[in-house]
Amino acid sequence: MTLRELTALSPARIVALRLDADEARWLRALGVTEGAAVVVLRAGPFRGPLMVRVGERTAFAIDRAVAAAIDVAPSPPEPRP
Amino acid sequence: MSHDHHGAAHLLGDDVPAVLLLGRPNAGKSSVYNRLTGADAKVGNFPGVTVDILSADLRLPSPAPAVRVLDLPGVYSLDVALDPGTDEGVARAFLDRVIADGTRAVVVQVLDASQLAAGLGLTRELLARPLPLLVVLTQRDVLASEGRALSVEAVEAALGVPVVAVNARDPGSRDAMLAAIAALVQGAHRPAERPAPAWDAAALAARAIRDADVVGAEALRRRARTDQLDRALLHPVAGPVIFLGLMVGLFAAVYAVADPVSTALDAAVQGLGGLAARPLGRGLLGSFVTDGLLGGAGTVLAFLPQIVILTAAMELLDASGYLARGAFLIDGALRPFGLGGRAFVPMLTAHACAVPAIAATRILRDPRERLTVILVLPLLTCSARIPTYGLVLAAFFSGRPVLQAALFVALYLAGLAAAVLVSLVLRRSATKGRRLPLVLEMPAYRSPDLRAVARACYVAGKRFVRDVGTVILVCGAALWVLLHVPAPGAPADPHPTGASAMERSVGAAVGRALEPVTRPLGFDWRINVGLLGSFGARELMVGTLGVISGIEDADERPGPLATRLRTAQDAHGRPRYTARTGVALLVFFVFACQCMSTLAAIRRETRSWRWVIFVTVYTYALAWVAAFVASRVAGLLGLG
Repeated sequence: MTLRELTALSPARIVALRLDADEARWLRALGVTEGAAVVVLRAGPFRGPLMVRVGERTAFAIDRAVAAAIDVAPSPPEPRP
Repeated sequence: MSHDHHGAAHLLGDDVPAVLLLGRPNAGKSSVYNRLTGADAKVGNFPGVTVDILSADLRLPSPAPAVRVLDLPGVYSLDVALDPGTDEGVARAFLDRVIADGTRAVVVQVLDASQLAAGLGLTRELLARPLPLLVVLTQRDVLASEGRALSVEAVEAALGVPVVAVNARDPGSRDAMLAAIAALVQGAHRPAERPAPAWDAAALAARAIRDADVVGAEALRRRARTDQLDRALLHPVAGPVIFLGLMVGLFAAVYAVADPVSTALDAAVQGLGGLAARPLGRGLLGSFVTDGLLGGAGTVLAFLPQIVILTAAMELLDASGYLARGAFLIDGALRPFGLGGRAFVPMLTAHACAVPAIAATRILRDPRERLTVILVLPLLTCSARIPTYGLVLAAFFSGRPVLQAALFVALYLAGLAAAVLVSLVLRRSATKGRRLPLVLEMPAYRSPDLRAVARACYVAGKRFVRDVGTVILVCGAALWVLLHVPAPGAPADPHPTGASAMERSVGAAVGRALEPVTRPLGFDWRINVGLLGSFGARELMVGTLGVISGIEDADERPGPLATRLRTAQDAHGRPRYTARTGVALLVFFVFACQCMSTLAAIRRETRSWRWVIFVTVYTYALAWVAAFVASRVAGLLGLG
């Protein structure tokens, strides 16, 4: 599934960036990279971008078209300590 | 767009070692710069580009030599291909130049410790560059307040370069940074090839930052603070409402300051003019000094407070983390017009002045979007239009305050609507092409560093006076000369008066020559001269009309300019101007790019005269057509 299809607040991991090479490199430089944990926090008004937490502490606004090109795999629920 | 960086030589010359501050946007670079250099630092600009690379000479603990600290724009990556016209492109070109020239330099990477994993990507790229590197970890206090402990040793051991952790607002941090920089500069030889980093950013961050032994309730609350604020400020309904409220409040503040300050400065300039007139007399020299020079200087100063207020507001919004939220909220609304959320920053700035706004387009990554925004910024209602709007509304709609207020708001909205519609057209024609979609970091909320905000206001004010002020002064002086030098071939004047001299001036001749073009709009040579003057800078419109009508009826009716405009009569005793003229003039002012400083900024930013000509032609054509239509509609509505 893609980041765009991910339900809000359900944790996942980035599996692949299906973007052109420059754009993918740019996202990786920001920290939006394969293996990173992601959570969609909310969507912007007027069909605006998604706000996504990447890793533990960094959040990004990501255009829906970009989110549709980011493949994610839902993370299994973490066992409660 | 391309930018050459001959300015680097200017900033780097005379063999003083350079200390380059580099880091991701929001890493706390400005705070580190201010903390290092202190308030009395000499501020330099990067010549040729409008984005500032601040520089300051700095003494290090003896025996280290003095160094020059340079604050480069924020960068995420040094290796990703990007447009050289952006902030990031400028920073990278600068670094490349330093390396290519073999300049004696060290790099200080400012890294937000609370975003350690993200910032280490840039560290990896810097380690591959042949320059000595120091990593300064900021926001140690934020980590501590959130109940997290930072191990500088773990980071230092992994990176193999010196690392210091600071709280940029703690005075003791300065000595720690100075000592580290001194050690780096004294040992500053180009490092031999470093081994490829063996660490993984996320794993290193997890190792270096751990929960403190005791994590209190307050710390947990602080960790959740940004999320909580976002839930309110980015709420689907409340979020846009708060955003709109903030923007309206900002405009109200700019406008509320604009009016009294202009009035006060007017009075001050008139007082000074009176003083100057005494020794100089009412002759040509006295008139040149009072009308030409003092008037121009007053006009420049009247706009300074607005520039400072808007800069302060933008800096506060930016440093607090809200500006990125604004871009997030507005992105969806701007997208149908071919623009993205980042475009809102320059578009907001343009409501004070298009010149700094054009520089602010450097935050746009997409070159076509950036060009589009540059081309439509002159349509947004800058504060220089306000005095003319005020004058015309007072002249032709006096005694109807509700209508005046409605027209005023309508003029603002007309500028905004024109900007987004022209952008829509441009994105389907001249600047057509794929749009780089929005990907923007949403930083954690922070309380802004007021010293950094004050510094930004100072730099913006200085740049405004330099870029716009000189143009206004020169145009004001040139206009005065045009209105006082008789046109060649003008018949001799049997009974010379101020008014008759002006009727024979070069300026009047040019104004008359333009009458065939402007007559359909209801403008006579006097308004044309005002428009000519305001081609240099809109601010000159009111002053020019004042000079013309002031000199024409100097002895008859002093009275406010608005009254003089309303009651002016032609040779047949009919009103010279009507409300229709007023409407046409207002509409003309909404669209025409009457500002040489803006055109100069467009030239500087696009490195092309083509776009300067394009903006001039399209805005004047739009202004003429819109003013003509408005004049007809006003006629149909029974105005004048």
